[in-house]
Amino acid sequence: MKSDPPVPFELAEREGLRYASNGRTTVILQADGATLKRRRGIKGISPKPPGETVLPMLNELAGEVLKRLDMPSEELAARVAVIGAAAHVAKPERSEWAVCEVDGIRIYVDADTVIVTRKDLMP
Amino acid sequence: MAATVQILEKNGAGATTTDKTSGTVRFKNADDSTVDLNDPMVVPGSGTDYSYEKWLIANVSGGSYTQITNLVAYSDGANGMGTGVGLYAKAVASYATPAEGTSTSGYTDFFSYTSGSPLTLGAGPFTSTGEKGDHLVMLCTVASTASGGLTASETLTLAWDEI
Repeated sequence: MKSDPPVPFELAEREGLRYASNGRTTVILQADGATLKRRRGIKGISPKPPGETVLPMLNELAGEVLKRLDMPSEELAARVAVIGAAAHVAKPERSEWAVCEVDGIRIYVDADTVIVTRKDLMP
Repeated sequence: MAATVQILEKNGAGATTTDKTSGTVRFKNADDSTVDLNDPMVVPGSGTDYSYEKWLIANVSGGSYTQITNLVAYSDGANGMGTGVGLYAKAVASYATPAEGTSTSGYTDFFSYTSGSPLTLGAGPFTSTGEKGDHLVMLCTVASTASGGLTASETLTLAWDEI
């Protein structure tokens, strides 16, 4: 259940109906005794800092460049590009679900997916 | 607008807070939130090296919501930090100055907490802004069987219900 970037559902009630909408998907609840809530999460807290990935690579490249100041520009550019790519670290992933529960049946909805189950799912 | 939820790390007797929502929590042999190579954990010749405790807590910094319930934390269920490296967790209501661990007594293997069986940090309901639920107190251990160097990072998930 991924959406990039995920938008939290907003909850509202109008004319006896309960709504959850993230601007793209709207959940409308029309059932007595049912519940509608958001289930939210932050996954991937504490990623490895990019500096720790990049620093050894920079040190290695610096050593090689010192030894080979005539390193071909194409090779040097490629090496720098690899280091640049390694600097990208995935950010913590936000999960934004709307969850309906009707008579023990739970419906989990995000921007792309609907899951119907009796299980208590977490992001 | 939904609640804006942060993960804070707290350090020192004064409980200095640092926003770690998108940052790194560095387990080390010192009580600070700095992500550096100072005061590293070491591979002991025998026994276990314990990190200082990490005190984390959810904080609502803003947004609009009615209440938060069912605040939980969990792992992906697999220790990817390598042989001899462990991570332990417990929920504690009141803050205490982080201390260097001496044992894992009172803690549970963090990787036993999964989405199907998470660590409860508070049933709630919680309202308004500020820190919510219990602290997530974590401890890292390094045994003599571990390899040196930086470990792979691990995934922590914080989840909650909100209306």
